[in-house]
Amino acid sequence: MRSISAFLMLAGMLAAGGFNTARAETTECIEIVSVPIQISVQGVYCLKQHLGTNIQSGAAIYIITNNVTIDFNGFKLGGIAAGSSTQADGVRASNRRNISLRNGTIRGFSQGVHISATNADNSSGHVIEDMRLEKNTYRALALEGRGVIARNNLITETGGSTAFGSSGGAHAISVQDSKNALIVNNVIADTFGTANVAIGIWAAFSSRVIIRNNRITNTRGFESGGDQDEFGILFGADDVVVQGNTVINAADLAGDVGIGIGVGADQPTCQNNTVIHFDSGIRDSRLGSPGCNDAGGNVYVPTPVL
Amino acid sequence: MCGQKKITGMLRWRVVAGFLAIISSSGTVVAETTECTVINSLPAIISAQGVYCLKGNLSSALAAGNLIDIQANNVTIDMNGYKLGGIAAGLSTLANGIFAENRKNITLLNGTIRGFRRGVWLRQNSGTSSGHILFDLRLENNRESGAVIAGNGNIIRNNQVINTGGATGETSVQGIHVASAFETLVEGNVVAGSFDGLNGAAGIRIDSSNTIQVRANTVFDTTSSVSTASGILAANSHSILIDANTIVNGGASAGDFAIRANNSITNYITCTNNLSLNFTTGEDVCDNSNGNQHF
Repeated sequence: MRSISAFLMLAGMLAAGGFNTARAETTECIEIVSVPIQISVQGVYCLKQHLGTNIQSGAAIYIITNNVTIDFNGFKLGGIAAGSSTQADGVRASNRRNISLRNGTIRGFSQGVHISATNADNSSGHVIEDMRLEKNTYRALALEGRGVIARNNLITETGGSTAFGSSGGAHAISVQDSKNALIVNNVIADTFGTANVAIGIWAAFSSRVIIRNNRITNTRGFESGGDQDEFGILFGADDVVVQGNTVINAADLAGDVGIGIGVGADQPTCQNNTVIHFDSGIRDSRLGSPGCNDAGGNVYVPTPVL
Repeated sequence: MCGQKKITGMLRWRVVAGFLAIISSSGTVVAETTECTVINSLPAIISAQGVYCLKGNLSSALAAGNLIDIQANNVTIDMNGYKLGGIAAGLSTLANGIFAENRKNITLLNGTIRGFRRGVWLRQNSGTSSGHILFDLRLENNRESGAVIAGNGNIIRNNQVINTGGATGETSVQGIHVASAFETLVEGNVVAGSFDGLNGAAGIRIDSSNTIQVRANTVFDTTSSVSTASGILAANSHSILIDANTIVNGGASAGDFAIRANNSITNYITCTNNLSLNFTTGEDVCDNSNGNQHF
């Protein structure tokens, strides 16, 4: 067992298994036993049971310090009892550093995870991984700050808010006021805007964002009769690399866009993305539509005419 | 050494399959280690092989020396999501977070190391350092290097290295530094913000090494106001593969490189499938290039 070669061999064999992760619980931690709760002391927190609340504003878990890890241990933080008009967040932090959330479910809030910053440099180092975010009504993951990572999350049924009237869109992952964000290996299914635009992954007012190897299916906006009601990926940020993503809708919806480049984007770069059954594969809305830097391998499959 | 706590736990080094299962190519660590020797104060010396852990955040204002000094082989430290902090020592700190010299099989995982001159320094000066693994660490606000690793057969995987730099007078600044190493894999790391350095800054620096693979890393914002900035730098090294990395800066500056292979004795550098944005030069002197894209 002490042989370095055996050690590395076994590590390599395990590594070859892709991103399946070992799951074990965190037991030696500060247990969150009820919500709403405010976390004001740095440390490792965990759930040891399902927790729920019907608050319609504020946050179920509000983190007001840095260097906090919450291991959900597979348990659920639920807010569905608040209904579709909720404006509550599941987990919230503002202008904080090094928040880690992992291994659980957050469902039924307006924003499942809401990490905000007055500017990108006031918030950094957050990692959201291995989370299931379900039935959040406005945004499942709303992230701001520097060096933020969202990876290996499953995000389903985002949308349906009745809190914002006709401005009520839905974004599964929203990245704003960020630098150096990495959005990787997330699975996003069924993002629907009942009153406005639906977006699988949205990046705006940000720079140097990597959107890589995400799988996005069925993004459906409110059909206004106009154009561009749904986007698999949309960004109006600088130096965004969109790489290796798969964006699929079951059927072409009028004016829908697989990957959209919005006003304000600079140096967008696209590589090895596959877009299936959208009106447009990659669409650039900027003046003169210079398009994405084509690093190759992008595939667009329009809806077949039967 | 005065005042340092000596940990003499007799736990034998045990690497079981369940422990190794926390390593994956792009994955994460969600397990804790509970059966371990707890490091509960700083500075600490580890002189016995075994599995160690944190069960709380640890911080120190010590401005020199090593906060955790590993003086044995076959040591694992699971930080269990906690923080080893040195921010209080200030920008000019000379302290290292975790240090080992001429050791074998050091494994560090699952925690935050911030505010040191070098967050991790696994040093070699007599050719006996090997088998180290660093993974799922957050290395933040370290001044010269997030991590420095030497020797052979090392893995640096899935770490998050943020904001390395900020001290005055550092000769070079780098998020990850592979120095005097061979047969080492640097994979899946995110290095965001490496800056300053009198002789330059690099996101990932390979120095005086050979047979190193640098693959699938994401490197953001490598800058130097006084010298050269390189997303990935291979210096005085040979037989290096730099593959499938994404290297992005905010704007090109004179003399910066996404990938740089400098020094006349640097050779046999292979660069494949890398993507870079906003550098004056995409690749510099890669001996073999294929599939690289620079915008």
